Amino acid sequence: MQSFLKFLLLPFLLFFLPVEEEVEIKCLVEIIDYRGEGAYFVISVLDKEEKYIKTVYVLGDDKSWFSEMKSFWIHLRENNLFSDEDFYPLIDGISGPTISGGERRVFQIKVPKNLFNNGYHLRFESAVEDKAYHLNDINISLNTESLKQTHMGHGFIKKIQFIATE
Amino acid sequence: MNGVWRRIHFLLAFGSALFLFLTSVSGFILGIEALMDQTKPQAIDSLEDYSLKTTLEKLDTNIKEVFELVITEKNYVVVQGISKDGFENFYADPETGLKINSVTPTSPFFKLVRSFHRSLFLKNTGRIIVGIIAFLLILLSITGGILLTRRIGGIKQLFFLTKEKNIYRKGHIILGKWFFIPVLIIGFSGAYLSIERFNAFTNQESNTKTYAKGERILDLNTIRLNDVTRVSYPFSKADDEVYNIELKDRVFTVRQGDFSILSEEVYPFHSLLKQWNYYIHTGESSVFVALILTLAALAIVFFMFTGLKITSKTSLDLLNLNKNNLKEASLIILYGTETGNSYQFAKRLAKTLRKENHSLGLTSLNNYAIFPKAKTILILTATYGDGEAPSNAERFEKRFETMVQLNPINFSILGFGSKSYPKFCQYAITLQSRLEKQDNFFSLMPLFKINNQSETDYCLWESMVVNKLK
Repeated sequence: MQSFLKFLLLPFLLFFLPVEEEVEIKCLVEIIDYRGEGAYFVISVLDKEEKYIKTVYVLGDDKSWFSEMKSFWIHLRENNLFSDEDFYPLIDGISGPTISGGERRVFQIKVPKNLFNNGYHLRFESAVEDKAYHLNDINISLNTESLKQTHMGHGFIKKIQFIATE
Repeated sequence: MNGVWRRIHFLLAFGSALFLFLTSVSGFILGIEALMDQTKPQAIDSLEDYSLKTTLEKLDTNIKEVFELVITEKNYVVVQGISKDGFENFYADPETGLKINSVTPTSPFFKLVRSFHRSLFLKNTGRIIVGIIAFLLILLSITGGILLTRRIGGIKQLFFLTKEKNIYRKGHIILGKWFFIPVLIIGFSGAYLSIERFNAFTNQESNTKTYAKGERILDLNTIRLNDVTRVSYPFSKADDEVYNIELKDRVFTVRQGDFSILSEEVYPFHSLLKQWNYYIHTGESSVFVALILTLAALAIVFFMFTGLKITSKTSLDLLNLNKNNLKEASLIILYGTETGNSYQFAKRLAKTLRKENHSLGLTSLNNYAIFPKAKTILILTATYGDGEAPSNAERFEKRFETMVQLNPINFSILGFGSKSYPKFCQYAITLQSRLEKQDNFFSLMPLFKINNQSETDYCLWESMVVNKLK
């Protein structure tokens, strides 16, 4: 009888299990005016020691170009994530097309709430075939105050704006 | 003139053969891809039936938040935004505003083929090579077109059946009739897209007009979806955040709320030209165009195959004619040939007669000259098109008028042709009557005609000639 009760309650228990809370951040990225192939981006959360905590978004649908983003590539290799098929679903919107010079793009990223307002950083790495790779195109504090401002990029990003919903 | 065209046509084909083959095969595969893409559920074949207004309204009601709407060259309606599955890129149905499929990356195979077709994996060097190949394809189809109309005897003949025994030659002609224009278009659009890639046309300015708030309202009802390329939504509710509505020929920035136009930029002509060339070269948005392109790519491969079969050793021989001792020869063999058959027979005849110890010279009718020691002239000639001289006999009649032989000449003419043409051996007949009229020319025996390169008929004539010359 008891086991039957447990069986009945199981779905309810699962339903009320705490899910990882996330902050939804809407981003507007404007790209500088350049001629050439589309740009690739990786957006990651880093700790104070610049260590990768979580990659939240990859823009660019061709895996073979990930190696252009050297620091991210080393992270992928060292943690053996490149061959790990489970890693890819973690990257939302991996199928997003690249952005070309002069274009702008709006997308949404999700950051675990425990990483928000807690001393972590948000980094945008960017690369364009035959042009350049920028490790810290954008590297800002991941907190409410910082996300309210417009940030200027140092590489292919002209500027970036956020709207965060907790 | 035909000889010149043939030589150019042959040299072009030979010089570009490898690259042409590679781009044709990859082009064929991409044509198949374009056809496959049009059968997918997200390919909307009647975009003109939907107005931008209804589509935007449907999306607003059914999608949580839209960031961007893109209409691709493949007639896919792509929405980037937040659906019930979260933030994603998906194909939408313009009628309901609902998601059809998630956007998945193009298959790596087709991606590889496309990259190869554009640049042969050689980046800019490859792009230049492919551009040159496209340009050569234009020249090939033009010279081929000239040869074709001459071969069949005028443009009107295009609509009649081809009379030709040789299967490769027949194939080459029939394919030429069907695919002359598609191949020419592939060449032109391909060359244009290659040149465009190097930003050759960026000097043209686009034309921008600005409007005051409320001066002009954009009526989204009048905009059809097939004219739209992209709609970017405002990032926030802030006043300086606007809609960006890109159409095929212009782009509007539009205020939120009342949809009043703030600016209108009309694209320069070259950008329309690029779109058109892209449309006609890829066939991505039309099953019909894609089908024609796919078949034409296949046709180019067949052109190369049949062309190679036609281009026997003979054609190579014709490119560098060896002068033999025409000044000393007492017997001259002249040939008029278009495809090399008469030349082969002339060589055979020369071999036989040399065994009979005749001092002889062999050359084409165009090289007719005063042969100081000649006593006999044997002519082997085909007929071209509608009873005209074959390409290496075109200058013969003019030269014959001006150059008078020193000795009386015995001559005999052998005509090659096919009875399926109304003007069977017509050029040989013309020559026979012309030579008969000449003062010191004497016909050794009547004109002899050979149908479809008949072996027995040739041997008969050859033995008659050998006997007469003994």
